Amino acid sequence: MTSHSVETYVANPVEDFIRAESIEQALEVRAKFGSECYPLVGGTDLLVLMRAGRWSPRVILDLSRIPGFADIRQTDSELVFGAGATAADCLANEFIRTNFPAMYKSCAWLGGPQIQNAGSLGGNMATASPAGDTVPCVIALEGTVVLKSKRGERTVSAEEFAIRPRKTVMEEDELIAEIRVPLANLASDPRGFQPDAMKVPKLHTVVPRPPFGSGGAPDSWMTNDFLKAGPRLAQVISIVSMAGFVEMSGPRTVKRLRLAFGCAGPKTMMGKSASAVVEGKELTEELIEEAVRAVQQDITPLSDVRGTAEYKRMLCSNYARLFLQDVGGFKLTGTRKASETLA
Amino acid sequence: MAPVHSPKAPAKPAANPQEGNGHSANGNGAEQFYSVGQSPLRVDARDKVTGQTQYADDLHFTGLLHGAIRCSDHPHAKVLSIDTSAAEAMEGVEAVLTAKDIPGENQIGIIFNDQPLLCDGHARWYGERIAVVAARDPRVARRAVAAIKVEYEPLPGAFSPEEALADGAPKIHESNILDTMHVRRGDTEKGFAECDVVIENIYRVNYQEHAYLETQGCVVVPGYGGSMTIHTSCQCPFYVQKGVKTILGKQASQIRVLQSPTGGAFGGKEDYPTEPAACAALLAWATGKPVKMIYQREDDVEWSSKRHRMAIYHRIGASKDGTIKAVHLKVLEDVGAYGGLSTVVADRANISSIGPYNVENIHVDTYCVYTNNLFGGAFRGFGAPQVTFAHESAMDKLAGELTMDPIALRKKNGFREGDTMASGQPIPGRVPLIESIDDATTLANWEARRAEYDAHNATNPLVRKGLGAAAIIYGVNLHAGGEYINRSGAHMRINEDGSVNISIGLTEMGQGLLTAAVQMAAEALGISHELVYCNQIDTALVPDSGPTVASRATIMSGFPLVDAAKKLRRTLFHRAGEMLNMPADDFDLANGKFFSKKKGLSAGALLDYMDVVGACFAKRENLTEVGWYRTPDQPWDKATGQGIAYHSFAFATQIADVEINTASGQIDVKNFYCAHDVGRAINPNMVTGQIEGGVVQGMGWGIMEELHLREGKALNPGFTDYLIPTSLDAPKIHVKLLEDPTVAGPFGIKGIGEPSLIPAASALANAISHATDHHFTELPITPERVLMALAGVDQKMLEPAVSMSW
Ligand SMILES: Cc1cc2nc3c(=O)[nH]c(=O)nc-3n(C[C@H](O)[C@H](O)[C@H](O)COP(=O)(O)OP(=O)(O)OC[C@H]3O[C@@H](n4cnc5c(N)ncnc54)[C@H](O)[C@@H]3O)c2cc1C
Repeated sequence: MTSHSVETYVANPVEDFIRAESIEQALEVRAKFGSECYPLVGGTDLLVLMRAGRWSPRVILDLSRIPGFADIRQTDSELVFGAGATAADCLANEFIRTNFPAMYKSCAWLGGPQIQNAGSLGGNMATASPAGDTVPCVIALEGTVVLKSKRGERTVSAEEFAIRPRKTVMEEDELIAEIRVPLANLASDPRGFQPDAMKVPKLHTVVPRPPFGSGGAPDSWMTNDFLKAGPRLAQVISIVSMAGFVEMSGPRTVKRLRLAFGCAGPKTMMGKSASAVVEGKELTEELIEEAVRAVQQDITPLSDVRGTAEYKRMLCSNYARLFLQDVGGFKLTGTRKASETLA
Repeated sequence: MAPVHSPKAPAKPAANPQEGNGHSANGNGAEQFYSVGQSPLRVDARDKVTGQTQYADDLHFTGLLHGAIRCSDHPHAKVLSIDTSAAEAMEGVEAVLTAKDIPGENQIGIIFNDQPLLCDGHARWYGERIAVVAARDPRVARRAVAAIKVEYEPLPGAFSPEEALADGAPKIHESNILDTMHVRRGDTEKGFAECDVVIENIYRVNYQEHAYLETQGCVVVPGYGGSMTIHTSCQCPFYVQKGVKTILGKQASQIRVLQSPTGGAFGGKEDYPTEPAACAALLAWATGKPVKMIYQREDDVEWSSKRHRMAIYHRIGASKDGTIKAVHLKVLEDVGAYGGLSTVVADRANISSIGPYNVENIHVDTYCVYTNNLFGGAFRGFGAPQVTFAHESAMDKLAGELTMDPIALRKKNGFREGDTMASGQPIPGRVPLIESIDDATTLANWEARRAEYDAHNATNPLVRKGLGAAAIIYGVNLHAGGEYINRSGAHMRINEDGSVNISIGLTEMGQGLLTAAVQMAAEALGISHELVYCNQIDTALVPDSGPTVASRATIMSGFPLVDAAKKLRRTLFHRAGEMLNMPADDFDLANGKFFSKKKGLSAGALLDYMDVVGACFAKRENLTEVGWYRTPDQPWDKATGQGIAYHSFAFATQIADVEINTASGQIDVKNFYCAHDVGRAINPNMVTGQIEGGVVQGMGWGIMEELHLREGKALNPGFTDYLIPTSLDAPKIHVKLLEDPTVAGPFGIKGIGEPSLIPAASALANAISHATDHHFTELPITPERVLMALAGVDQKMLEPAVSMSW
């Protein structure tokens, strides 16, 4: 080892701090400085990494005051998050609370109140950390990322946005303008909304939903949820997270399942094998166990200070089980033996 | 929270049951207490809450330089060369110093002379200091230390006591065993032969970081004639004085240490602040300018002491009826690279390792073993929490084997009046252990809840519930080994306006000592606490009063304050006697009123405090006194661990109530029920606050705080990944204070700082074991350990034992 290993924890000096008044101005700055310019909304990732000496921007471009940049709105077909929308903005949005509980929970779990007030969805996406909590929620519901540059605008699927930690398909002159989620995937859960399950101490578990009312299950329905493991209830980076989205064609018949896992690989990992197990079939406890095991084929977690790979693997399977048990109206159960799950 | 003493309770004077018993508060058998037993607002609360308090980093001096430290890049290496030229050439750098520049003795060890301040050629851990730098800008100082080039010859390292004890282990010091302690009572071979059940486990506990809000920091200001004034965030200013004097080769008189307001310490600022202070003093000496040294969080976690990692080989046996017959233990303490306070921590671990139980046959061997890890030191509980985890986990396991209720087993063996401690000494005074167990179980509704949880767990596969208890005996104040520094002084001065300045030799570090000292001084003198002001702690004002540790600060400031007050009262009573033509020894003074001791205050006040003070000043009398206190001797036989380990003991029982998510292993701590024998609560709110804080800090160590080391290097030295409980994680804490004013402390107090933490992790471990039906033998019991245990994976995450027989 050389003296380079001596960490200084001193941020390198920044030459300029530019507060953009409009998206056009921001795109100009972005085009001019390229990779030496780092956008900032809340700074809750940027400043941490600058202090660690990992990121050294020459110019910081503040997007947080651009009018409309933090708006959350709906078009005919989409729920649109301005890239500057904060976790707190999402928590204050009634539609998200009732129809997008996965996003609501991921925001309620994200850091603590101070971080929620500052940290943005665009920042969470752009940081491209496998532990970004809102990202699996967007991906599970087939969301997209709208990128803008002076050259124009393009839309990429959120699933394809991140390549590996801190590396995305975004070009040096681009900005994330919006994150969009199809309204078609956001129909409310007919079993009802559960305000109790949204309270912070309850977030780390699934609160079983009530069974269908007297009318029985509709022909077609959908739901989404989010789970996160960490040793404490706030200010904790996920050990593993999972966003689940399911579209049903009957009380227990799965039409489409999308499980998106955080911290289970270099980017959000999709449980495609589990989907293949259940899609087009009626959920039974045996089928769920088959899907739970299939989760293992699509994840590649590593051991680190937050947990061993084995633990993360168990969590992914256990979360898939909880989600599917809740969807199928089965009794919720805990872990099975590692030998049964990881085999 | 449901403190028994409600903060809103009216300021009703408490009866003084000590009257005439010789331990009375002010030595005059006052009928009532006016300040003691009340909960006035903390004297420092307003400033701290509003951000007015000036911590070390807030202090500024003309020409101030900033210090930085360069440490080793290897856990074990020979240092071949140090090239400081690049650092020296940097703009703004004023000094780059190595061992050769030290004017005094290059020695910073507090008990053993085993630790150089700056590396003497042999780097024994990552925190080994190679060089120090002073620069005008703190960022430049940090860049300069990184620019120092060091050449090493790496040596093989030993990263656990087992490795360091193995044949052919690398030699960290002359011997890798720093010291050993023992307890020998009865005949364990015979004892185990009589047992119906014997259980054996190896318990392992990991480090704990103090995680005080304010990191280590100080400012050293050179004064005339080569003197130094040091403003430092610390617990023990006299330790700092001694360390700096040695390094600079000066006299104690030339080194003045002022304790700057200290943002938390928990033991982490007992011995360690001497090290940054000595570095800053060296730089101040070399440059002639004031030098500030403030640690970044990562430095602080990597370089300062931790709660010791320990392995406890534990064997306990009992007869069918639950009578414990014998206990055999081997305790391995991971000292780290330098001795520090490890031996005194081990002293407490050694003698506390049996718990609050009668055991006739005891065999304990405690080894303090050098490794190339970061070093262990003082941390709230001082070795006791580690062994408590072993004895209290073993008690629950034993109860299971005997199919006995864990509480019943504890009560069967628990200490009662007249019983004998593991040290062979009869426990003095009342022994409210059983009372504390009963109170805690009543608060928790133990029997009904345990049964309810068993039924719940049988049918609920996702969420499991558990209730677990832990009981302790705590030796108040310093162990026999610390007898030689167990004394303290205090100054008390009455000013012309009747206000009083006190100076004490123990420190406020957030626990509330300033307020407690003010309350005790006021009570002892017999005036309102609003008239008393406690000076900043300053080595120039008081004699060396020993360290602020071992839950001794209130006791050791209380005694000399009472002594000083007695002397002042003598002067005041003499003056009052002259004024009223009455015998001086018939006076008493309480709450600002002089009255006849014979007739009592109810017969009417004779004089006002202010009038007598005025008369004293008119007669030019001395109203400044020094109080002094020396603890009784503590004879001790180290070979057998027999003697007077402590003079006073406190008892406590805590019960933890948890819910476990069996899909993730996550632990939700719902409630804590705590019954603590405190002697007397000087300030019930603050005592309750200590218990709440101790529970939450113990809980952190028990279930979430885990410092990961790779070859002795901390992998998670920041708060992103070293997780301590947040306010959301804190359980509801129900507190019952057991007061017993027959205790020999001033006003009948015992310490509470440490006992509040010691049982917490163990109670949690037992609750988690109850919920999961799995016996956990390692701390912390993280969600991962819970889940993997439920998933049937035997996961040993701490260093595995290399073949180590008993
Ligand atoms: C104490 C603490 C706790 C945290 N806890 C969590 C947690 O529980 N879960 C979690 O997921 N995260 C957590 N984080 C991380 C962080 O808060 C989130 O990732 C947050 O969403 C980042 O948003 P921001 O606006 O602060 O991003 P910034 O720090 O402002 O930016 C982050 C990165 O994205 C880039 N960027 C930002 N906006 C855009 C844009 N519109 N277009 C292009 N690039 C952009 C920036 O240049 C930078 O590279 C935590 C952080 C802290 C400090």
